[in-house]
Amino acid sequence: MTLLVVGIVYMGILVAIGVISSRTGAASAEDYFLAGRSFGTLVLFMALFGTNVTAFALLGLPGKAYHQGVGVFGFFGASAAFWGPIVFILLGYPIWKFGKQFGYVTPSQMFADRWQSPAVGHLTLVLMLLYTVPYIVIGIMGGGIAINTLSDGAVSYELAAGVLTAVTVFYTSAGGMRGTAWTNVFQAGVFLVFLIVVCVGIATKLGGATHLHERLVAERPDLLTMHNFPAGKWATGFLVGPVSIIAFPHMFMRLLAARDAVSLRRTIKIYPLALILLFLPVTLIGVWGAVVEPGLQGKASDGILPLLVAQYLPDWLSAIGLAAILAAVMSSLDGQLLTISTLLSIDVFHRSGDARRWGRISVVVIAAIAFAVAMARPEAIFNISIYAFSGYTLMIPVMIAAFYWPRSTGPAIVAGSLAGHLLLATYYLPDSWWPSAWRLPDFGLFPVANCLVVEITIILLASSVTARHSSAVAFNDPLT
Amino acid sequence: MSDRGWRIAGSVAIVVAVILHNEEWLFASRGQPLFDGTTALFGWLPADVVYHLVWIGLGTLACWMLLRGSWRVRD
Repeated sequence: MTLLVVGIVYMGILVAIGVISSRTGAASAEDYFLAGRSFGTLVLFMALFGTNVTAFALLGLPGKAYHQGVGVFGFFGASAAFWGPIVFILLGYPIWKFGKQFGYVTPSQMFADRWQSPAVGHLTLVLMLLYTVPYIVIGIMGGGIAINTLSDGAVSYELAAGVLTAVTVFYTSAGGMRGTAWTNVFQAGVFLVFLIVVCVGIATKLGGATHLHERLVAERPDLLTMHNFPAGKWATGFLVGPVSIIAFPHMFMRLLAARDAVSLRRTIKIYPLALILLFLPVTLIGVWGAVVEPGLQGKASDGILPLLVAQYLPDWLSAIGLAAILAAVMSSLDGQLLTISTLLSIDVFHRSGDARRWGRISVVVIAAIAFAVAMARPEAIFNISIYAFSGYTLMIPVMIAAFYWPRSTGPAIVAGSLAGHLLLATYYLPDSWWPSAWRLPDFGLFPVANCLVVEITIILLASSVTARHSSAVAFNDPLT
Repeated sequence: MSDRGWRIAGSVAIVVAVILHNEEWLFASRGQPLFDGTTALFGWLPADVVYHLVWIGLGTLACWMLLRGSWRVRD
């Protein structure tokens, strides 16, 4: 009953924010898709943070810490807290600056204009769609599975996925970027506060954090070192998650919505602190869970956080936990839906005149397709998600060339990108399509490291033998 | 210090932070762990987590120096 009440109240708040957002702002494309580039520090930060954090942070990370120990904090959390601000400084600021200066709404517009190359724009659009659409399906599936599990099967997977999709579609289509950003403020607040409360609550209930650490030393000292991660994966892990966030189209477009450089600068300062507040509790909860509730095998450890909450904390906190997981799922899902709808409305249908209507239609259609796929529960989709993260990373050299290498050319960008993305695909295609014997060795690193070397080399070489377009746009002084 | 100086200092700090992040390299070069992983700050915060918090501090300093030497914006 408590679960139901909290779920209804939570969804009700999101719907209310969507309705209020739909009544503010103008009907222009810039207002609907970028909230009129009006985000101050709080909204910008929460919109970026809420979109960046998925259910993986609340379920997958404690599950990984359960098996791999405190190294999870260094591998995921510290790396993200370090690289996130750096990519925001070096690439996020130029994205915002030139986006505002030239009026860009989508990544495809920016890069096509930079090199005066429709091919670069089309390639960017295709890659963004290719890597983002599966994420929408994963978000719906993750939310459906989480609610179904937390409610002990009382709420079916289909109903849970349907309700969360419907509510997300409602406030996203109604409020556009403004609606999703304001709901993200609420959602990011919910899951951050929940995690800190749960971490303190569990420690208190189980005899204190010091006692739990002593149990770890006595029973599972192996979880107190980072040596459960291979060195090569550790060294290149930053390429897969922390660096690629700047190339997520939903992050890219939220950066374009910043009001001014001061808001962006303050956001960069807060970001690492928020990531530490997120990753520290989930890591501790995971390793504490390993001594308190030992024996969970494989993916079963992903349920350690809800399990500890259900076992040791009051019922109402379990209900808030449900809201927190929904918040993490929906705060990413809304950004992805809006981004795909923007790409389709602006880049494919060229409907900037009646953007609000086309944006709403696109959100509904994409969500309906993603929901239909999610109902089939395709197993392969989770492999696609790992592939997609690496794919986003391969967009980084394109961004660097756009802002920092005036000599780069459109044909070189197309050639380098195609080579890098095709090579990446060979590592992730099923064996029946591309036998593993044909794959280049990964040298113990994440495959994207090899692909980056190939991509960058081709961009450099091809730029030296092809001519710059005479009217290529100069992005001068990207850091000033 | 000039803007260029801040940017160079920030870049150097980034390189140092990257080396520190890869504690396995440091472990291999010394032939022994950098610290006893079973110890904890305040009795509960694992040493490995503290280690990473320290280098994130350096990383944050690197970002501050990069910002100081680049964007012509002050809060």
